[in-house]
Amino acid sequence: MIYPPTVQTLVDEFSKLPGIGPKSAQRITFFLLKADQAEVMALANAILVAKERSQWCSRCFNLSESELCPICRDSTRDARRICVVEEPRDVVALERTGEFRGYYHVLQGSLSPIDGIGPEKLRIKELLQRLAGPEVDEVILCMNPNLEGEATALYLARLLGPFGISVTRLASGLPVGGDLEYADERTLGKALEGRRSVL
Amino acid sequence: MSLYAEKAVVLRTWKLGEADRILSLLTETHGKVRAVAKGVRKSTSRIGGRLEPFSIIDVRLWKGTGELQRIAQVDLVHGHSALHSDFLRLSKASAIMEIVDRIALEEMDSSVLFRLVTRALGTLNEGDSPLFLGVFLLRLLELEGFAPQLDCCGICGSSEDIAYFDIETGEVACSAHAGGFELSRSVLDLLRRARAGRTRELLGEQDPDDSRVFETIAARYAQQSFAVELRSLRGVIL
Repeated sequence: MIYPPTVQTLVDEFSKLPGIGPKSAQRITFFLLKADQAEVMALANAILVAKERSQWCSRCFNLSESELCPICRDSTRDARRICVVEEPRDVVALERTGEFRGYYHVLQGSLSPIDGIGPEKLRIKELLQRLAGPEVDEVILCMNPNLEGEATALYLARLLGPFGISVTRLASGLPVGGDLEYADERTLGKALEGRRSVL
Repeated sequence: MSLYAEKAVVLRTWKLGEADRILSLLTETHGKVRAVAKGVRKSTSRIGGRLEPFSIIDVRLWKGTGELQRIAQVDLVHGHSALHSDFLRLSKASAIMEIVDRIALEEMDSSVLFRLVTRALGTLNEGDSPLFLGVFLLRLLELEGFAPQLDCCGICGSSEDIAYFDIETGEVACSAHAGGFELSRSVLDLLRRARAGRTRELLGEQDPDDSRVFETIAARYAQQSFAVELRSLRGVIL
C-alpha cells in the first residue's frame, strides 16, 4: 500500500529507530494520526526539548541538562571512588541500588572490534585525566557481563595498573532467587571464581 | 517446520527488542544460520552465557516458516573465554567471525569451514602468535579457491627476483614488473610457508621479521578477494 508522502515520511523516520521495524513504524504512525492534536504536540515538543537541552556532563559524560550532571554537582558524594559504566542507563540502574555513593564515569560504549569500536571511540582518555589527581583511590569497573563488557573491563584494568589505585570489578554470579542447577557453565564458573569468605 | 540438532560456532550477535538477541551461527552441516534467542539478555536467562561470540555450542534449532530460526536448547562445548581477556586477540577472533559471517552460505554443508574456524579459535584461545591471522586468512583463501600464486612472476613467469605482490590479482611479480605490495625476502618466505600448510611451524615462531607486513598482505588480499572490508582489522593491520 502506498501512503501519502507525509505519512510515508513519518513511517520511514520511525523505521530508523532501534528495535522498530516497518510494521511497528506503521503502528506508531497510525496511533499518532488517530491521537489528539494535544497529545501529538506534547510528544513532538518533548522530543525537541530533550534534544535541545541534553548534553554530556563535561566531567563524567553522563546525560545532563547543564555542564555538570546532578551527581557530579553533589559535593557530599565520596570522591575517592569512581564507578566506570558503559552507558547512562547503567548509572540509573546503579543509583537505584542506593549502595554506591561515589562518582561515575560513562564510557559511552564498550570495545567491539567487529563493530569498529576501539579504545579511541570511548571516553577512556577522559577517565585517565580524571585519575591524574590524588583524590581517587578506587575505580570500580561496572561493565555488562558479556563479551564486549568483559573485554572493556580487562583492557581498562591493564591500562589503570600503573596508576597504583585499587581497580575492582562487579562480582558476577547467580541471580538472587535462582536455582543453582539451572545456572549456565560460565555464570557458575564465574560465581565460583569470585567466591568470598563468609567467616 | 522442524526441530533439529546441530553443532555451531556463534559468529555474531545483535540485540533484538527488549531482551532478545539475533545470532549468526556457523553450523557444521547447515551452513550459516540466523536465529533468535528469546530473553537471553535478562539476568535470569539460563542460556545467555552460552551464546556469546566465539562459543562452540550444541544447539537445538527450531526452523519455522520465517526467515529467522529459533534457539530451543543450548549446551556449551567451549567458551574460548581467554579471547575476551586481551584486546589484540579479541580483534583477531572478531576478524575471523566477521569474515566468516560475510562469506558463509546458508543451507550448505560447511563442515570444512567449521573445522577450520573451530581449530583457529582453539589455537588463538591457547595463545597468540604474530602470524596467526595471516596464516588463518591464507588457509581460508585456499579453502574458498583464492589461494595466491607465489611461485613465479604473474607477468613473465620468472621465478627469480620476486619482489612484489599484487593484491588485485593475487600473484607475485618480479622486480622488472614492479606493482603492488613490495615484498621482502622474509615476507615472501612466510607467505610460501603458509601456502605450503606449515601452520604449526609458523605459529611457533616467536618474533619473525615483518610479521605485521605478512598479516597486512594476507588481510588486504582476503578483503579484496571476498569483496569485504573488515572493521575488526582496524588497528591490527598496517
